[in-house]
Amino acid sequence: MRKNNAQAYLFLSPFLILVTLLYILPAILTVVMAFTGLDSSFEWEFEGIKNFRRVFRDPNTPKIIINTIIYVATCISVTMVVDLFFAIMTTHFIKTESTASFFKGVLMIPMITPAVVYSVLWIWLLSSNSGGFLNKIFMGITGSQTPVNWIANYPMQVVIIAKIMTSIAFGTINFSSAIKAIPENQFKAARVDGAKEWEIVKSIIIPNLRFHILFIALWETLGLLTDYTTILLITDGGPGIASEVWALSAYHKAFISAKYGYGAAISLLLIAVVLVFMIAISMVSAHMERREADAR
Amino acid sequence: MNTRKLVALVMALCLCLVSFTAMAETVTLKIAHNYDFVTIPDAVIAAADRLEERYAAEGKDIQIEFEKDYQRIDWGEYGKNLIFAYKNGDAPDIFSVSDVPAMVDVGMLMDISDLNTDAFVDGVFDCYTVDGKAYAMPFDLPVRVIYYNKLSLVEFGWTMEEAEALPAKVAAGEFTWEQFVQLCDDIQNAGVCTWGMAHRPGAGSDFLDVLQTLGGRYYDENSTLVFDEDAMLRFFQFIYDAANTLEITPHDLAQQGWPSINTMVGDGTCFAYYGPIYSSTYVAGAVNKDPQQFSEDVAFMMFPVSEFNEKPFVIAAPQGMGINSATKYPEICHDLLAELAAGSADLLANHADVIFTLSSVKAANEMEAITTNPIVADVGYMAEHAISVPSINGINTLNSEMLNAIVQLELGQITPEQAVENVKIQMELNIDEDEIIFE
Repeated sequence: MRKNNAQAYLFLSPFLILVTLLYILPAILTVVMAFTGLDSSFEWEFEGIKNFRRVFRDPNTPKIIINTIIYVATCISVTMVVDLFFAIMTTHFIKTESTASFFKGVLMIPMITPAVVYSVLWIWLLSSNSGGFLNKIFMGITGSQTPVNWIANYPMQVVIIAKIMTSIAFGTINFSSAIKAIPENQFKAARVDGAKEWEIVKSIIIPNLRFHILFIALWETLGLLTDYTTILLITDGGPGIASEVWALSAYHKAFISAKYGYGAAISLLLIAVVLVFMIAISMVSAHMERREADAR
Repeated sequence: MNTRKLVALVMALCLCLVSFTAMAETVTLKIAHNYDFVTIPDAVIAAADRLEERYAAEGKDIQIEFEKDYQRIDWGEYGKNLIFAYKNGDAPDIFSVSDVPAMVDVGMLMDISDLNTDAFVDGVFDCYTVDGKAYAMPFDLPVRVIYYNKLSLVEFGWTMEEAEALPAKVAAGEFTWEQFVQLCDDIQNAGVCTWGMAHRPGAGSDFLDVLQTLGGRYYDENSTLVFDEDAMLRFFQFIYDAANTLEITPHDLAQQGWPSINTMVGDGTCFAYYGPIYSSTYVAGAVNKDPQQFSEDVAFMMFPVSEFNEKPFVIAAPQGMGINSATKYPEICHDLLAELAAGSADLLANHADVIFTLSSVKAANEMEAITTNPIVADVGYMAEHAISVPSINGINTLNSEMLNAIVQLELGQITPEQAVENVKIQMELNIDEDEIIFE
C-alpha cells in the first residue's frame, strides 16, 4: 500500500511541481504583494494594511460593489432561466437530435467567438453614430434624427446582455445532458398519470436538475466574479466607473495605474469571496456524488 | 633547421597578433523605441556610422551594430516593460524614454548631465531632469498648440489674411481664450462646422494646457504635483459647458477613437482642436493631405491669454532617448547622443521635419529641412513662448483621473463640483502625501 502511494506521488510530482510554481507561488506572492507599495518602480516596500485601508476609504468602492452585485446577480439569474429554457426545449421538446444539435450549435457561437472579435461586434452594433446597426433600426422606427449613444447611456445593461450571450451554451449543454440522464420511466409514469408537459417539467425535470442548477449557478458566479474581459473590451468599466466591477477594478489599479500592491489587495478581497463559493461548490459536488452513489 | 622553424613560428605568431589587433571591435547595441516616430532611433543608428568614422580618425576601430526592438504598444506599458527588463538585466542599451521619474526611481537611466547642453534650445532638458541631473536627451521640440481651420473662418466671413493673422493676434495678447471659445460657438451656430472644438479621446497632458489657460498650475517650483482646486473647477466647468451648454464638443468625444477625431479635424467637420503639433501628421494622414495641402487648410496658434492667464503660451513636450545605466558600452552610447547634438544635427532636423516639429538642437532649427517645412516654418516663433514642464511624479495619475471626470462631465453624468471632488479624493488616495500639494 505504502509502495503504491509512493508510486502515485512519483507520477503526480511533475504536476505538483507545476501547480506549486504556477498557482501556489503566485498566490502567495499576491498575498505578500497586497501588503506592499509595489508600483512601476518594482520596489517591494512593506506598507502593512495601507492598501486595504485605501480600498475602504475610496468613495468609488460602494459603487463598484453595487455594480458587481448587479452584474453577477442579473447575469446569473437570467443565464440560469435561459439555460434551463433552451435545455428543456432542445432536449425534452425537440426530439430530433439533428435539430436540437443545430440549436445548441447556434448557442455556442458567442462562446467560441474570440472575446476581442465578439466585443468589437457589440461595439459596432451599438455604435453611437448614425451608422451604428442599432441606431439605424432605432432611427428608422422612431424617425429620430439623433443617434443614441447606447454604450455610454446604458453601459451596465450592454455588458450584462453581452456576457449572458456568451454564458448560455455552457449551462444549456450541461442541463441537456442532465435531462437525458433522467430515467425514461419517470416520464412514462407521469404520462400514464395524465401529467401535462408543463407538469412534467415542473415536477420531474426541475427537481432532478436541482443539484446541477446549484452547481452551474455557483460555477457561473465564480466565473462572473473573476472574469472581466467582456466589460474591459466593451466599456472598460466606464463611463467613469458606471460599469466597473471588482475584478476589473483590480486590473485597472494594478496594470493601468501601475499600483500592483493596491491591485493585489483588491484581488485578495475578491479571493476571500471566491473561496466561499469554492467551498460551496465542493460541498455541492460532494453531495451530488453521494446522491449518485446512493442511487446506484 | 630548428632555428628556421623557430623564426617562422615567431613570425607567424606576430602575423596573427597583428591581424587580431587590426580586426575591428564589433559592438552590438540594443535599441528600443515605441510607436510611430522611428526617425528617433533611426537618427541614432545613422549617427553611429559617423561616430565610427570619428573613432577611426582617433585610431579606434569600432564597428557599431544595432539590435532593434521597435514596438507599438501603450506608452505606459512600454515604460513598465523596460523597467521590468532592467530589473531582469535585459534592458536595451539605449531607448526612447517614458515615465522618466519611475525610470530614475529604479536607477535604470544613466546620468547624461555632462552632455553639451549649450547646443540645445534653452529649457528643453527640464522634462528629463530629476534632482538637477539630466537623464535623457530630447530629440525634438514639439509644442502643444491649438489647431484651427482657416477655410472655416473664411467661410464664416473672415478674409484669408484675417484668418492667417490670428496666431499673431494671439501671440500679441489681442485675442483671448474667451473670444476663441465664442468664435468656436459662432462658427458652429453659423453652420460652417458641425463641431466647434475637439480634444484627444484618451488621457494626456493636453488637458493641462487648458487648465493652465484658465489660470491653473499643476506643479510648483520644486516640480511637485499641485492640485489647484479653484482652477480645476474652472476647467471642469469649461469641459461641461463645451459639451452640454455651448455644445461645441460632442458628448461622446472620449468614446470616439483617434481616427474619427483626426478625420473630423482634418476635413473641417470640427473647427478647432488642442494637442501636440506632431499630431498633425496623423490628422493630415486621416484625410490624405500632404503637409503643403494641410498647411493651406489648418493653422496653429498658442494658448491665448484669458481672464485668468496673462501670457500666451505653448507647452514643450519633447520626445527623447536615455541610456541604460547598466549598459556594457556607456561611453559609446554617450558618444552617440553627443554626436547627434553636435556634428549630426541634420539627423535631428530630418526627424523634426518628418513629424512637423521644431528640433531640440539649435543648429537643426537653422537647417533647410525645418525652415522650409510648410507647417514648422509658421510656428518657429512659438519656441520663444514655450514652457518646458519638469518631470513630475504622479502626473500620469492626475491625467488619468482627469480623463475619467471629463468623460462623465461631457456625458452630463456629473457636475463640475462632483468632478473636482472625485479627482481630489483619488489623488489623495493614490499619491503619497509628500508628492502632492492641495491648494
